[in-house]
Amino acid sequence: MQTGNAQFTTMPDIDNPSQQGTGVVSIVSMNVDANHDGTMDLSYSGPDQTSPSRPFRFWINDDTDSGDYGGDGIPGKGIMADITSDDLIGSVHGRRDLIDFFPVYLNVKGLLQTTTNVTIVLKQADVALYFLETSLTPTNYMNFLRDTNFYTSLQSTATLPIGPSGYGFTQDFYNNIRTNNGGIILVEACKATTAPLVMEIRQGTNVLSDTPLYLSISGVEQMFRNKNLMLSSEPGQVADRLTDASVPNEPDTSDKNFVFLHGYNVNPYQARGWNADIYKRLYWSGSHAKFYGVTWEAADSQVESQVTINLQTNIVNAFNTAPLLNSFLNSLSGTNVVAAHSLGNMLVLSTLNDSGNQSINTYFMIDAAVAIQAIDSSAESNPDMYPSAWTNYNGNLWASDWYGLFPTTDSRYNLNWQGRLDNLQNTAVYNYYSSGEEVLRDYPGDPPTSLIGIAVGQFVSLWNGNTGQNTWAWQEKLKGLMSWNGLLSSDHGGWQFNPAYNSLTVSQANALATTVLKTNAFFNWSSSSGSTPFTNDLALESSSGSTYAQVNRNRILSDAVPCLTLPVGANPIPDSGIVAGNSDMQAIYENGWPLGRGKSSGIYGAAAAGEWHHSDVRAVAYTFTYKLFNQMATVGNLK
Amino acid sequence: MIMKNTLIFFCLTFTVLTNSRVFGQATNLPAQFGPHLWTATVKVVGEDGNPIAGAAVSAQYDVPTPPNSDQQTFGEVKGVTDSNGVSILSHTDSSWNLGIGVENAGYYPTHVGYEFYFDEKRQNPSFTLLLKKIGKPIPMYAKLISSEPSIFKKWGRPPISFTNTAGYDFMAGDWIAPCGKGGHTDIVFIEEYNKKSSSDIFYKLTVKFPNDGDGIQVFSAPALIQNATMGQSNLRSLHEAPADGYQSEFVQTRGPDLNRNYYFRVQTVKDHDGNIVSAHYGKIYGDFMQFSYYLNPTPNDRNIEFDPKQNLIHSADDNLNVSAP
Repeated sequence: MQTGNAQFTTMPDIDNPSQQGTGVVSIVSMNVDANHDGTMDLSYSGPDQTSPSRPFRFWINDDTDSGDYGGDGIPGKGIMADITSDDLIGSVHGRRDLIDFFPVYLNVKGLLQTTTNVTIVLKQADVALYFLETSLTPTNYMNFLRDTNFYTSLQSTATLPIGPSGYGFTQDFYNNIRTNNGGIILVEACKATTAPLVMEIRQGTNVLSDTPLYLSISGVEQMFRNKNLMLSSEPGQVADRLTDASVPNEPDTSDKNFVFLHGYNVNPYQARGWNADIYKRLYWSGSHAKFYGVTWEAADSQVESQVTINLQTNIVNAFNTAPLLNSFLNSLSGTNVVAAHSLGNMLVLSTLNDSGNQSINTYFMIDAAVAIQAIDSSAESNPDMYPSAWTNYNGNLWASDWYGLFPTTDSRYNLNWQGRLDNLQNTAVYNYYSSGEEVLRDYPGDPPTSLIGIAVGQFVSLWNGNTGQNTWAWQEKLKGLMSWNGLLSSDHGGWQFNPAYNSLTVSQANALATTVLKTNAFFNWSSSSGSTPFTNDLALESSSGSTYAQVNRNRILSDAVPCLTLPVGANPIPDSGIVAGNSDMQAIYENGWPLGRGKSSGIYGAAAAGEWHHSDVRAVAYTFTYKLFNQMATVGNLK
Repeated sequence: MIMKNTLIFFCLTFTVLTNSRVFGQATNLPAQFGPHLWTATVKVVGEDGNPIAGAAVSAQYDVPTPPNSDQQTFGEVKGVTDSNGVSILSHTDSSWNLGIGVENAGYYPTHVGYEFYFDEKRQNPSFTLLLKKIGKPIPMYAKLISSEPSIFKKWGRPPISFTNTAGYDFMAGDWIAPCGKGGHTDIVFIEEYNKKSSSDIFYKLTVKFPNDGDGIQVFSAPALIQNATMGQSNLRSLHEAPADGYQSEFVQTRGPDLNRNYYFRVQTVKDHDGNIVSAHYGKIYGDFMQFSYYLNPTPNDRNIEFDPKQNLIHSADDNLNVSAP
């Protein structure tokens, strides 16, 4: 049975066979894209039909969204999260807010074309829903998320409450149904409910029909799973949600697990926003995988929930968390697809390399804050990563190459980023990088000198005002050079000259014997500010150096051994044989771009409207980025 | 999101208090990151090298994100080129970089990026930007190849070794069977792969053409506009594909090179004397194995200016559509 008008004819009259009765029945329905595959199946037995036992599952719009890239996605903030001074009623708060709406099709065209004096009223017992009329149709309704012009085409962004007494529609909306195959409304939820949305059709004062749309609305965290891998307890972290019972509103899922790991400078509270945003995006790209958001300790030293000033200690956290991630991944049944953002990739790569995890089928590296050389051991070093003061000195004097003075059996040989994370096991790895990166952007020449003695407050302001631009390159090129440790970079090792050799000319330094450099490196292992435990790194030059290197390897790599290549997240991996794909998100997956996002220095190709920045996979509205999520859903076989 | 009047006052107050705390820090930024006067001299020339007067020039500069705001914005200084094709733009701000754009009716826009790198010597840059005329954009077969065919699967635990071949049909927009449903092989990719360990990998991609006279040639166009000495035009290629200079084979052992693009010739027909009597021309934006190709449907027409509104391939996958001319 399908909607529309049907004609029923009686059997011929038994006394007068020439007479038959005829009645016209209008069949109506109210439809959603229940399986969120981008196609609304209108049949009564199709995959998008709802019932009391199989309701349409969706989330409450209780996060903060504004404009095209504003908001943190953290759920549970209540229905006033998007409040602004000019919002006196419900509203769509920019394109970023649209993902929290779902289209509903009022399939009544046949009725309106054949019957007069008909009115339609929406009712919902809990007043949990607000709605907005659109001119969309059941074949192009996904344009509410895929067409950048849709938001500006809205006559009004006001959303109207649906209560038990009902709410009607404008004449324009009726006309659009009759003549243009319209009938799509956008609905948002302000609180949990299982009370159905009811479409009541009236003719005059007579109620002709009540059509229910069965719903299950909850907080979004009741729809996806969570794994807490924090090394220590911190405010804002949430308990594991690993069982079906812990996610009572989880839609139908497949045997795939999609495991997402956030990046650096994300505390447990902020992780909830990352997880929720990524979940919602994959939902609308058709994913039916079980979604697991992983929270890990990536914001140690974070100031005012804004800027994490010490990257290096969180790199160590990533390495230390890898065994936990390994155990978690191995505990899951089904096929594992993993995605990580920024420093989350250090954690996943360590899980593959150091824990030997072999359970990851597909792995999406997004904006990976990992040096190319760590994955591609054949990658050549990049002169942009050398401070000018060191360019005339031989490589064997550099901290990055000190390992080469030792045999492979000595643990000091492992103080080396080259190939540190290059064992990708049997995993299909896709590198999603951005040529428009700002945080991971190349920085030729020496970093600004005023960074060396910068104060915490100054650094916070600098980061906030310029979205962390150039920070990754700066922290590598400032290793050993900072006035004190733990702010932006380090005060030991790296590019700090060993004062013991101050009197040597370049040629004299280049002539230093290997045996001398082993026990008294040309760079300075000690802390310039005398801070412990870093002065202890001088033990590397002693007879117990190998043991010390073995124990402290990851910490020393993070704060005292500079990387000599650019990061993966802003570049393709040079060796095409290593990864299954190298994709420039800015060049390939932008669907237009927010006008205010900046296009000052990285436009790639004519199609790109602006820079795809480090966290834009989450920050920029799905309308602009949906192609990336579609690609992940396809490549990961998540649908 | 649903609104309530009653909470407006509370939230605004919270925002102001938070802002004032961070504003206090912002005033203490080192002078190196503070406002600086820059002057950009932009000369605009056409493809004949002559200056273009009356072109609209803009310089976008970053405006630092307000505290506790996600709304990063940029400012803009505008100008028009004089009879010498020159426009001089200047401003004082704290921007770390500039985005220069040039537009003129009948031309494709051109852009260039520039970074100050906190260097006093880099405050007054000069640019000569090339504007390319909009010629005759045409319908073409155009599609993004976003991934390799599955037979080139090379991940997994070593040892892995294979030499596999996959053909592609430009007009059908698909790989040749069994990788897809394409029927006519325009171009062939041969991938040799030998992974002995995670650090011992041999990779070689050979691009070949099965038809005599078909071939490919490289052209370079800057992938990133900050590397573009004359700016990056929206039309990255020439208006017409070259008449000759095509190689029957191209080998890639490392990649991709983001600045590398290609012209190609396929479906070549020669007479008895070896002269070309018919051929289809096209271009590739990007490098293997992720690229967009454009094929002119008209034999012997070397025009490769694409009208994105007239793509002869209607891909069901929105991700594979291309929009660059």
